[in-house]
Amino acid sequence: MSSKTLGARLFAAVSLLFALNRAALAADAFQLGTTLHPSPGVIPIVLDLSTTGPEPSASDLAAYQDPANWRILMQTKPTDPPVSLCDDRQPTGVVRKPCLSNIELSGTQHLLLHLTGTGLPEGDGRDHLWTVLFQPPAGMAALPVLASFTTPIKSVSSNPAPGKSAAPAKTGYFAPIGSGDTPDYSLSGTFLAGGNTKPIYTLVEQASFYATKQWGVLGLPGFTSAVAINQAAAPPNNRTRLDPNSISAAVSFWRLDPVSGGGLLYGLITQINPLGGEFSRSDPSANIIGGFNTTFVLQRKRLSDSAYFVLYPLAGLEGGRNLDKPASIMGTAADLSHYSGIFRGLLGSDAVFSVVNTKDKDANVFSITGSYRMRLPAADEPRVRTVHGTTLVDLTTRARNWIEVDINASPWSFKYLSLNAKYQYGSLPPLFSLVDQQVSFGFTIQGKQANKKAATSLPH
Amino acid sequence: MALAKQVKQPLTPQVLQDIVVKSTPDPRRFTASSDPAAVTLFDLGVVGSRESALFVVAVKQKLNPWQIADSDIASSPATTVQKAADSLAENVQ
Repeated sequence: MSSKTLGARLFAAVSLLFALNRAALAADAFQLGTTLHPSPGVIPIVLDLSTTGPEPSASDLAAYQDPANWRILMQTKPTDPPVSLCDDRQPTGVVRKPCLSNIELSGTQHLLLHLTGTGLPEGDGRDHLWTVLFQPPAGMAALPVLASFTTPIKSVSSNPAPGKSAAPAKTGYFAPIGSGDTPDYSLSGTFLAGGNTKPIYTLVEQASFYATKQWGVLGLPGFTSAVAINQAAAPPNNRTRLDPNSISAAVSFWRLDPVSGGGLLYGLITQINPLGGEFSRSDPSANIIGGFNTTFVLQRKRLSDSAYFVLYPLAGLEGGRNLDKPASIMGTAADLSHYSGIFRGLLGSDAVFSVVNTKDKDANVFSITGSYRMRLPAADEPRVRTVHGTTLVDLTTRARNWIEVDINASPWSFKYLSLNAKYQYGSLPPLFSLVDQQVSFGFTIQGKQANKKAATSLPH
Repeated sequence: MALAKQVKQPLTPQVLQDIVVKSTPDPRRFTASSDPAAVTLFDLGVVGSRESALFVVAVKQKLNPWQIADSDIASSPATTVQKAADSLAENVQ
């Protein structure tokens, strides 16, 4: 290769790099955005135009601050003819047209256009439509920018009645799971097949739905349910069946109380269950139950730009009454005649380690969620264990533990479906049948209620 | 006894940005040199649905007596401080 050809190629490469660098610099340069809105409550009217990039040069700033480079149109309604502001060609008569009094760069993200003069609408201008056009003067390396505010707010001066929402919800009930989200509804299952046993299916359903309007001091009303089917089943099994071991359902109210200050505690989420039920179908049992629990939302421990760890301790009380008790449990005679009143303390915590997509921090890529619940009965409640193939039933006040660890991987963009590994150990009301070290792998179909206000986890 | 009517403070861009930042779990991570168009709520501790829900309530408390619907407050972890502040400016009443 001749030195001339090499030189030409080198020149072309350097030119390309220079051009790319200029393009990158241009992308980082100050630019007007297209988001425009009048600042709420600011009178006389100030139009807030979004900007990007660092502060402009002094000469460019002078051009942006020159009212002669701006055209502003105002409309009362979309069907009304626009009124041009700051336009000398308009007949002004005796009333001076409203115009720009000041153009101010606020921070690095806002250009504030201060309007002045008679003829401006009363209030902060958010009940009108606005269109602004910046026309760069000759010699300025910029293109014209058009921005508009087309969603005027009706009756700005009037507040909605207490408890009434100011605007309708814009989102629907269902959305995919995002970063750190606990599903509002999920259905997961396993299938076990082997020699000398009929197939065993296990299913876990959890759901919680909330109204989108507050009920005064009680908070948000909603409904929660959890169903665990065949959780205590173990091979060998002589009959394939679906027996719900633990069903819980409750009418709930949710209160959210943020704590300001940037301390360790960010807020409290309190779930009040005035009325609920705990059921088992396999050995028919039913409890009517009420109570409350409070989750302490702590500050997350930041591990990197995309990974974090956070703890959610929980404490509460449950109380109620047994309505139906079985004479035998899993074929073993049980004397539950003293099982009547129910009063339990509830302690526990959730722990979350999560890695999110660095480009979309709403998207969970990998997470480990651990849940621990300890129920401390003040009165005797049944406890069912299977030891060496023998079912043991006793009434006791011993603590009942429940541990669940979920590992979720959702590397693809379809977040309704995730790869899931689940570990469970412990016992759940009403009969507290022991689930002994159950590990399952599979897919989980999951989602969240997009328009709900309270985002909470289901207590086990 | 008549209740005193609360005065609505003007919501300039800086006021709205302060409300957003101070409503997050970790406002100290947002410094004077932080770019509101680049810093997300996730960066300030809104990592999940619990934090997001508390963030919305905190914003509404700080906006009072201005009113805004919960669903109009941009509060997901990927939302930038700028977008969250804009969602307030566009929807408060």
